[in-house]
Amino acid sequence: MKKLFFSISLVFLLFLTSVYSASADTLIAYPMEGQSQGPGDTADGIGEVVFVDEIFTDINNRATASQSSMVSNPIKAMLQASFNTDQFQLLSRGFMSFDTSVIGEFDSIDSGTLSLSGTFKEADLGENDLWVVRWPCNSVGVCYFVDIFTFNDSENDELASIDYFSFNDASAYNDLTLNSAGLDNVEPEGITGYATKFAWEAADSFTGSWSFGGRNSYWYTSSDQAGTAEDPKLTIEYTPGVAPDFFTRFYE
Amino acid sequence: MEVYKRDIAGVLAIVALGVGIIVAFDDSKEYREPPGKGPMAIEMEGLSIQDRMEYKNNAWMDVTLERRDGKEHFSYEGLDFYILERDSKRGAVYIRMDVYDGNEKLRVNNPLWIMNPPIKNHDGTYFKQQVTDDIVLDSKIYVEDPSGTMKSVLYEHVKNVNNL
Repeated sequence: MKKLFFSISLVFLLFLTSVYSASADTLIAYPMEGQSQGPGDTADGIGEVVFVDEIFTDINNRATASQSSMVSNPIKAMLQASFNTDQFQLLSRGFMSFDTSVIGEFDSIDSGTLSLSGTFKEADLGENDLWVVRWPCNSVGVCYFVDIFTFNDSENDELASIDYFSFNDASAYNDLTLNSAGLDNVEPEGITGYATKFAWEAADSFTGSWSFGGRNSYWYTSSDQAGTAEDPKLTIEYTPGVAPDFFTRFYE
Repeated sequence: MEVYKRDIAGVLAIVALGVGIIVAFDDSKEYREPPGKGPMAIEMEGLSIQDRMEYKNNAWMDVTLERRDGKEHFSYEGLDFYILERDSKRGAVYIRMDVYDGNEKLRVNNPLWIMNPPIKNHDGTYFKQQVTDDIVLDSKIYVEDPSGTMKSVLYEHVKNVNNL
């Protein structure tokens, strides 16, 4: 009798496991628009260094921005040369965070896409890819607002990217596929943050063609209009998992 | 700074006073002044994070759809959407749906969890938005339209996973 009960239980558990693992869920998340209210909120915005005149590695490694905004529309990654050879006057970075709390700790993240609705681009300094990098929410814990200190919070590993030619600036979504590091950045049961910058910034080396006042930029729509169908969008496909103690609790 | 074209036919270029930049209007687009905050945005002012998200979830839940074959249905961009389940739970809008292109059933990665669902949709018009001293963009005008926004978001998902 015990053997029969054990066998039935095993079949039932295998059935449960197969049901749980066979179905993939999709999370589609948008940042909260406007000014954030505090921890638990999400946000997007820009931090930018302006009105300076310095070499690339100096402007790229500044600890703080000159100004920031969470109500700027659109967001931009922008680098502008100054009027002195090999120096720069402006650098802007974009930041965005998403509520990924519906993804459970034991869920398996299968794929992900960060979608940015492009509105403008320019490449006076030479074509350079737009990179998506990590805006660490778990360690920094401040992904609910963007301020001048946010400027230096972003990391430099490539999580997704798009080249200048491919970037659609006609108010259409650019779907940037997250690589494995980009998927690892997703915070189950938490807030997930990403930033955008030029590949030059990540490498801490400007290898373009400097020109007098020249400018590179990628512009995309922010979430500052009470939430639109073209806001930054994070899409994650994941397979619900089962907590390790599920089976333990089942037998108790 | 915003520049508007009012009742002027054809392609028009004007010089925006004060900044001296050329603003070119695209004759294929309709321009108008962007409206102020809508009633939903005003109602959300002062709400907590959770209440704002719940408000937007409810806006999606309140969208009325016609019924076809016993299911909620809408057509969008030539596709037929059948909503099998629509709920608000775990802070998100939960949707399961079937989508058809004619008789062909398209792929949908059910279920969908929409976190912080948008409620504004492009109404087809534009305004001139000066975003730097020398860049003026044709910016879309968005209006509160939870129904249109929901359909657009669900269509985007289907378009992406089916490479339409």
